[in-house]
Amino acid sequence: MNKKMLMVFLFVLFLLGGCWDEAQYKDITIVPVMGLTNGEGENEVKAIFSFPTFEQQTITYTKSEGTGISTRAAREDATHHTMEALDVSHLEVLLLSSEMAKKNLYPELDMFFRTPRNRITSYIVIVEGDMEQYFTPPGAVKSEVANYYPELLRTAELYTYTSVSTMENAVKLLLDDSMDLDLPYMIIDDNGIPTLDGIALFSNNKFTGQTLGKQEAILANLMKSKLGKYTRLSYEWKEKNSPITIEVIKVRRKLKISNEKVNMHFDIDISVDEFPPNDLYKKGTRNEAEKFLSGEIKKDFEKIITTTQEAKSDIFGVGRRVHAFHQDLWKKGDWQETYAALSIEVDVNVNMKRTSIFD
Amino acid sequence: MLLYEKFYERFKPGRFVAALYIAYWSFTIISFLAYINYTLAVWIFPHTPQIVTMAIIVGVSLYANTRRIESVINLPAIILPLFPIFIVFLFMATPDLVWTWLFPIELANIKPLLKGLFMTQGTFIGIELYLFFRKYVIQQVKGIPLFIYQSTWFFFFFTILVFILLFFPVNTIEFIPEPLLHILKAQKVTFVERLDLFFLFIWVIWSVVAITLYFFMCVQGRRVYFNNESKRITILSHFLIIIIASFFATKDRSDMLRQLIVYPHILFTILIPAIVILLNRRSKNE
Repeated sequence: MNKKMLMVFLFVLFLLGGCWDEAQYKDITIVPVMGLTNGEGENEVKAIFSFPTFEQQTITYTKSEGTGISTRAAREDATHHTMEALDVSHLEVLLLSSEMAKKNLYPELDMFFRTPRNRITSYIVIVEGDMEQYFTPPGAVKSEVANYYPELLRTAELYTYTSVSTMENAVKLLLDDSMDLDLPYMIIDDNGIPTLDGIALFSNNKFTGQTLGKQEAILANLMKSKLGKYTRLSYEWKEKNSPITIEVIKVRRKLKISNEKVNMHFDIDISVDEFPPNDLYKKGTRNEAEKFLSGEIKKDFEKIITTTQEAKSDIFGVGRRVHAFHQDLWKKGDWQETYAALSIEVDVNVNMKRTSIFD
Repeated sequence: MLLYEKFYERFKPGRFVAALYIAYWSFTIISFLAYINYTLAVWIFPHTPQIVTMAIIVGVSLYANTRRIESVINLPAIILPLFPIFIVFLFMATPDLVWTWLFPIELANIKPLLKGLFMTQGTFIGIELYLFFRKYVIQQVKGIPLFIYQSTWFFFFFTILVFILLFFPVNTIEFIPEPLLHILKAQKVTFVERLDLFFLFIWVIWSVVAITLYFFMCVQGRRVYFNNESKRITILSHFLIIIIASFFATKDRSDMLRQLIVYPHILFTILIPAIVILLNRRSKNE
């Protein structure tokens, strides 16, 4: 009898586990997109939430907003005038205003990391202008914003427009002294549609206000050796009077660092996606193309390095290598200042490995 | 472990030493239980009363330790299939590893190295059980098979350590108490929202097995060295441990126990076995 009682007791105990911590969907509202911007008061945070509501068997998206002294307080404030508690455990995209990003971002993100239920693999984007417009865009966006932003960013990642820009990656870089963060940068275009317009450059945890354009963003990811599934670049080859579009198969980066001088060497394997003259079957044309592309990409890389040095933003992680193996250079002072003053040389060697099914 | 293997036959503790070990194992159970329950409260069950999660964990031990000995001895087998799964999940973080975070290796200052070496001994809490259990294992298992067994454990812990060092910037490790859980939480997979929970459950099962084994050692210690097989004491000790561990299941107190336990661990895995083995050797020679 005692044994049976013990078994029953243990079984009941197992059933009890979790009773107190169940969270039912009927009590919460899942928020897929959230925006954070500066509130009107000093140090005030304004949070905007987009979430689905079910009425008359159809899903419509609505928004709610709140303000407070922190992200969590703003969320609580918004919950006070939303039917159910706002739950960010399935957050897909976090929009951050460029103004808010100009100060240290971490305090606004702490809430996401401290609570275990919260998802930290959500995308994070810097947006320019009025945050409200990103929740009710003036242009005719073909989908609800809650669907539009996650898909837009997934595509951007796939096509190397941005490197993996999850909240978790962002915070690791915010806390890493030896490399700076870059995040996807979004604007409202002339048609009133939210559009990715390159990447926002950070220096010492703060958005510098400087950005790289769309093509530059792809090249910057190439320089970081962070390729998405597809990486395509197009150039106008004036001598041939033709465009040439390439797909990057592989990139190998070699860094050589001597005192205050850095050499970045890139070996880039490519495939040709577009070349109307169709004479790549000639070895000579292929060599010419490799030389032309090496020169063009080198010019672009140098331009990007100049921009990042002006922004004091080491998004390529040169500092990681310096910190690991060149302590004299590392200890010269603030790394971002050191990076800005470095002499950086670039070598590019393009290898045409495939010409696709033509030529 | 190599030294344990060489000298385990000479490790024959008396009643006093056995009592000390029982006290140490009880302390270890309290420390484990307090920390497990604190971690469970923080990661999964913030609203569940800690006494309930504690009773579930200790309940398994109580059940196993009031059954046949085989029930306890065979219990660790349930966690073996979980290790490969855990390792596969861990390797999903490989693209996020930054190898330069291993450098620079600072060897000039010996003091932090020694401190690190001392604190990491905590990883091997429970190793003294080898001295008690080895004689029951097939004696022919020696040489290379034993070396492979020991190396497997070394590489398991070493891989985890390397992953943690390569995943987080050094300055963040001090405020991430459970880096493994964070590594798994940062993985995006399609089949489950929170991979960290998977590891947490493995860890809880692992800990339940460890606690059951420690209780088992206490029960067997009483039986072998004090001829006491009272089930009432076994049941009472389980309840007593729940009450004491509940008191320590807070951030400050569980941290205090975790920092303290390294000292008795060194005492009971190095000093006391060495003294017992030496004394036995002397008396044998005389």
